[in-house]
Amino acid sequence: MRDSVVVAGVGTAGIPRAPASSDEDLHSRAASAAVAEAGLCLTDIDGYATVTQEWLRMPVLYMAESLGIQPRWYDGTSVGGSSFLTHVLRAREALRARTVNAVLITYGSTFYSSKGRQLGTMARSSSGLSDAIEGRVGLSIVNAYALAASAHMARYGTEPEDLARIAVAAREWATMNPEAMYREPISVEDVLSSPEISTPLHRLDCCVVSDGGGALVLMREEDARRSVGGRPLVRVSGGGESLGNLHISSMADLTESPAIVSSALAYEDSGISPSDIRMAMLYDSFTITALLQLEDCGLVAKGNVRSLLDNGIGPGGTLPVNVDGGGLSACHPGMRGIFLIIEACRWLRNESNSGPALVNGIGGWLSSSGTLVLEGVG
Amino acid sequence: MNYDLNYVQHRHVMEQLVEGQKEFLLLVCRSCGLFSAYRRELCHECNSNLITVCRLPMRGVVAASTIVRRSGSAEWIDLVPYTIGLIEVAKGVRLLAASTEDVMQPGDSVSLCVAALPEGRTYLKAIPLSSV
Repeated sequence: MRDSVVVAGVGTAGIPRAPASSDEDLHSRAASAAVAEAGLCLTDIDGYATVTQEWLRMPVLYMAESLGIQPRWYDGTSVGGSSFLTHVLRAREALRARTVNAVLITYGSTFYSSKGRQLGTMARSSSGLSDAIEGRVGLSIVNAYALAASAHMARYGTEPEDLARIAVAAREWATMNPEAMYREPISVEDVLSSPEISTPLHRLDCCVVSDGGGALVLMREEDARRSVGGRPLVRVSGGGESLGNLHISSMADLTESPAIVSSALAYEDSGISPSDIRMAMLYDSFTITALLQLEDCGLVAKGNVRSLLDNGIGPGGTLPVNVDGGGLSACHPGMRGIFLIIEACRWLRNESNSGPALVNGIGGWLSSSGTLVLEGVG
Repeated sequence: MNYDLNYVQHRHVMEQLVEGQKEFLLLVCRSCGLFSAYRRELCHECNSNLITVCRLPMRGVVAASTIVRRSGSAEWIDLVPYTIGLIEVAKGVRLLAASTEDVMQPGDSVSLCVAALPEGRTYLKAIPLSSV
């Protein structure tokens, strides 16, 4: 019997804007909150994982020193915004191997305050092989995902309205989240009449750019029960990961993401099937990203997303999705994976909600996927 | 021009585009027939080392397309709107092309040529065959 590993504490900071803060501040504040929730001190942390965008070449070293910790286990896996899900899986193995006792995972970015809203339209770097392969046509990340939407529409008859309904549902959740970047309700018509950025994607099909920090503490369940007290814990019941391609032009099929593999592994690992899932946190960098994950994680049949949208993914729907408002309305400080896990944990710790929850992150340019199956354990 | 020499100096068929070129130089596995835009010494499908250069005409079929309304690229920002197409030029090989004049739709057949941006950088330009 392998040890049960749980999320013992979560914390956030500076969502959606933290103009007077540094990235390190947000890592640190979120870490303090998560460690306190776990009933620990920073000196108890013996494992650490983080990833940042390009501003640091050795983020684990840099941030460990900034936090004042000297972990004996660490992970700096960097596969885009989904990296944090991979960190959780690596940490679970280290905890099960009893290499460590308490693993902290952090992220923090003042992307909005320092760089504004340019994230989605930034072209690939102007040097290197990637620039030669895809940069010649000025390809940005929104263009890449727009190509995926185009392919999906051509193959499955998906309409812009289908994508818009995903944005509307996210905003419905955001109206209930005081930390969400945008909280005014929107309609399908609002999405479709917002400026086109890269057809078929409109501005409201694209995630917000915010500031924000997030942190998690993972422990073996037996240890967490002692340190946390009576607060509900969230078990990492299963997980999987998968790498696809760095370049969108290398994908064999733009309508299939690496989430097909990572979610299948997570279901197998957990013994839980897609029909058991009661809520989902999906990396909605764009509406098409969320749509692909709904399909690729088996929550709806390929090409049949309309049936799920008819049943509802917003408040009152049959499958709550992105209950904080998602990247589309609430929070996306450059990388969003850690916030998916945090919000799923908060949801599962609420006794009025049921699980299990599926968390899926897509990183890069539909490049990588990490999937977690989480369950509340009382 | 010695395309073969040029090719082996490059890691990917897109790494150097030359105005006026009339064909793509891809790699093809003589064992399984798989094409590759990357320079690879072994076939990643069947592990054969029987890799040879294959010359293909510069045309293909649009797999996906997008009209770019906002660009963050210094080279393209003044050229919006323009269309980016993902073009399948051989089974398993897709390349990105652009057009400032024509709109491409998935399923369209296109001819490709190497064009230059105002500041001189080359790119693959797509021309729908229906408009040739």
